[in-house]
Amino acid sequence: MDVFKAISDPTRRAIIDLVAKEPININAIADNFDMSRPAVSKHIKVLSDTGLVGAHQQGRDRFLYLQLNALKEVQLWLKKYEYFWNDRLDNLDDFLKN
Amino acid sequence: MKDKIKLERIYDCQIDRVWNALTDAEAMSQWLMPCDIVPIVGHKFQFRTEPQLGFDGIVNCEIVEVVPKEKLAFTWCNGKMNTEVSFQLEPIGNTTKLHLEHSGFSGIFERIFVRQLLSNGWKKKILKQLEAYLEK
Repeated sequence: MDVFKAISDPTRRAIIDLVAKEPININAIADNFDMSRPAVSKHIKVLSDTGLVGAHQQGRDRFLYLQLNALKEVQLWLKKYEYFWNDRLDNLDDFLKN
Repeated sequence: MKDKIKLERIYDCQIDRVWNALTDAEAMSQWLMPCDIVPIVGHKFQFRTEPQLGFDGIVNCEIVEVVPKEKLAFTWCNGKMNTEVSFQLEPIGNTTKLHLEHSGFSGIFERIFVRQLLSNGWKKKILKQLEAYLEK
């Protein structure tokens, strides 16, 4: 699922709102929602698959944190432009030879 | 995660020729994209190319830095993108080394993301106000 679809769901946006304030214990997240733990876990998995959130272990607990940087969409743009610039810099070489 | 592109090339000619290729609208239009660049800080210009899916083919730019035969930098904006491109030149004997940097990509997502969060917040707020109003 892409990042945009991931954040189109209100539950997932609410989870993002929670972790945006501070890293939060994964077990405590479900307490904020009127749904089963497995359902909440599924939403968390979608978010972590997109790279929007990351988890780190601290003792017995796992904490979820917001990870604005590891964003696939941005990576795609970068790739596209890297290809574009390599192509154009080759063009420049041809241009300068003529 | 990186948020910029950095590339280097060595061109087998003197720096004047490369600088000219970067700052002359006709030359730039040939090797990069059709444009009306003038290398003066504050000058606004556009690159225009064939529209593609999700891209209207227009890039809006403004010159932010000009150091003759050394550095040229301009903004590169299209839709959600608000990035910056810079070319730096370095003479190496009779050849010229070009450093390209295209930066500012992390801003793209943060803008979309923040807008989504904000619109979500606004909707909630308006719904609450509506509910409060109806309860009166």
